[in-house]
Amino acid sequence: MKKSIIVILVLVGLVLFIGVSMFFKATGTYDKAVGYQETASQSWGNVEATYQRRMDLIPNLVSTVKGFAAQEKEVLIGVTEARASVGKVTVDANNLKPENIKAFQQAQSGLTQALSKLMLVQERYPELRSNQNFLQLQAQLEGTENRINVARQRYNGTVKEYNTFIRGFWKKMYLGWLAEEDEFVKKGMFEADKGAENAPKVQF
Amino acid sequence: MKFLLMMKFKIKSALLYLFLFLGLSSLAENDCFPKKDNSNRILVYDESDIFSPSEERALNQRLVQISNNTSNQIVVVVVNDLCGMDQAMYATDLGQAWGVGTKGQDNGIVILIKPTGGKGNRRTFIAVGYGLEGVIPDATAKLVVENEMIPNFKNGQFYKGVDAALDVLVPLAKQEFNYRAYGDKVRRSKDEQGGFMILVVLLFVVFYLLARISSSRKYAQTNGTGFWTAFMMGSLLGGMGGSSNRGGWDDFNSGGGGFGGFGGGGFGGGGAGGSW
Repeated sequence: MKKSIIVILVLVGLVLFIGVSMFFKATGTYDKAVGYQETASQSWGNVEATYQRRMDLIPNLVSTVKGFAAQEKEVLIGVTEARASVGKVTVDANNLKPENIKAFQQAQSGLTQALSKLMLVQERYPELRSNQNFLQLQAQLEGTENRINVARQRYNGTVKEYNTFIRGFWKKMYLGWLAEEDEFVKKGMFEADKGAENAPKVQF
Repeated sequence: MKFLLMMKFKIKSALLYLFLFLGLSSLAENDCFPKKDNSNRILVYDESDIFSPSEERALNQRLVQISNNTSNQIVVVVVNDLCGMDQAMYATDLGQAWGVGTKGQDNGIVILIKPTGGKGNRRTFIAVGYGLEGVIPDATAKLVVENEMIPNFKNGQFYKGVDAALDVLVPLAKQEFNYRAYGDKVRRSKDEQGGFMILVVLLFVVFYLLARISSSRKYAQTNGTGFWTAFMMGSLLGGMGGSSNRGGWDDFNSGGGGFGGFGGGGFGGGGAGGSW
């Protein structure tokens, strides 16, 4: 009689112990996942900020080029239109699904191509090429593209960490207990621009 | 239960291996950067030996002094290979990974030089930390690259180029003068290149001679020697005094200098580069 009570007590104790430790593990996992999520959202904010910086440069750039090469209407309109269409595709930091990121990247790469065409115009206009204002804008554009690359790369880094974290079997289970349905879903990353090799080379 | 526990352990250790592996692979990526010196005395990393030992020492000393006096931190990195990255990404990543500059102020600068490769493939980049982007905008960094560095680099005068770049970057970072003033200076010097310099040199020579003559006159009067003897003696002594001063003391000082290490400054792609 006594023996069986002890066995039952030990078993109950064991189950309690495992239950409690799993609960702590689950809350810990949840907190970590929230942390990764937050880091990824922040780095997305940086990506958006750098792209916005490029958007802000464009009106000035277009008007400067127009001053020397007004007849390049097609190129100038191309940039303005690409800019307008980019403005329509925004991604909320809480909704970084792969398909959203893909759409964002596609829209932005359209603008990248339009801009590189615009920068090629200078080859036909020596006065534009030596204009101080244009040179300055060119350096700013180049710097902005660098910042975009850096922000994208860092965003990819944080998303990779996040995606790896939420994929584990046990973590999935723990998160299933505590998180809402769609709270931790896979996030999208930037891919290397496919057209990058074929795009007209901009000589800065 | 036991089985479940075992499984948990197995998965735990598997995860541990995974993290170890991830850690190692991220280290492998950074293999491309030069080995960071942990004695906190080195701010020049010259893998391609473009500086002579004495140039390297002088440059390092200057950078250590900048770091000590202003808390702005400048690193010069010379590598043979960018590992497939473009120069902007390489310099920015290196600055971020090493933490050049002070945390919170992000006031670091990385001057990257890749002197190998054919014409047009030799590259350089000045990566500017977040905190200095305001005082050294990209367009200004570009001017420095194109006016101070590349013309000298083309002649193989790497030390001179970096030194000239520092002459501009350091006061800019200290906010001793505005980047617009530098832009104006470059434009002006392009407009009237030769003439202005000759004028400066001439003025300098005239002032020098006047000063010499007046001091020689005094010397001749008080010591009873002829004027020309005093003049010649003054030149000789003056020359000797100057050079001996420059030689010994600075070298002696450099031994004790340290800069306390990199402070965790951040980089976000600011700066500009060029190729030659």
